[in-house]
Amino acid sequence: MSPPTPDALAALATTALERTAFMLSERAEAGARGLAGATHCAVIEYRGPSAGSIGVRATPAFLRALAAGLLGVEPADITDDASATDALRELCNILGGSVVRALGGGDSSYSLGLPGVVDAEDPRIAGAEGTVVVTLDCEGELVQVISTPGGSSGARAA
Amino acid sequence: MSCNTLIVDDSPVLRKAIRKVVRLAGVEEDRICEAGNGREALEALQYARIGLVLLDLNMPVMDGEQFVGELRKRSDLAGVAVVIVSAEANKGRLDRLRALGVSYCLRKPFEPEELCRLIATVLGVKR
Repeated sequence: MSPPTPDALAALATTALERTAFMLSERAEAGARGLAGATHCAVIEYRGPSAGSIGVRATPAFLRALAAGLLGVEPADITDDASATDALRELCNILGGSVVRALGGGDSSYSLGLPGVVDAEDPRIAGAEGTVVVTLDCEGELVQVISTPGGSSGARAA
Repeated sequence: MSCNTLIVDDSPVLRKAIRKVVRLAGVEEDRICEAGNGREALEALQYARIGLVLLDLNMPVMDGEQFVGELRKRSDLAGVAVVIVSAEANKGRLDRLRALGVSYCLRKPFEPEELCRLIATVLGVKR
């Protein structure tokens, strides 16, 4: 099974954001405004006919907007880091499920792990050979989705 | 609707989001309870008369499949309806859950209206 293409990964992420948090997004260049503030990262691993991981890297402002979208409140109402981090893990979980369905179709034999928070230096975020990275501009905030082939350990299922 | 509903998901944010949808489906606030994993859900079932469980599958401590396995061992809880709300796509796992009597599955990402309709359908069947 081939890993998702950048276009496919972007489409899955766009759909996930729109359906779960009512957030509109479009492809963007990572270098346009940079991802220096995108310090919050999470990863979920999948196994089956092929193995790999899906990572999400985002700014605190994006995560507040994501949590607000999930809860149907204003971003200013999200005042705790825990809700923002939880929303990040949930987005990662949803994206992982979307990717394995895309890989396996209706008869998917893939299984998902638990999403966990990781550091930006984690190889599943920082990039490895064969990694597909997609950057989205989601209502003014950049978010990156990273598909990395192969499995490794280290995610903290916080 | 006079049916106690239990939301089981390890994400507190998603539990809150689902809780809102359950209320939109017509279930009163004081008839909704939450659990963060299958073990907590089994404990909740000891203290509240639950008619509907909205169940995530991939959770720490006790996952959704293990929870359904334990639930089906309890003849006194045979009438509890279970709806899977999960990102899970593994056909073998979903087939095993169907064999345990789980008839409804909503895959994440879902729109709130989809869950609202599904809750109304399940509670309509239960009436």
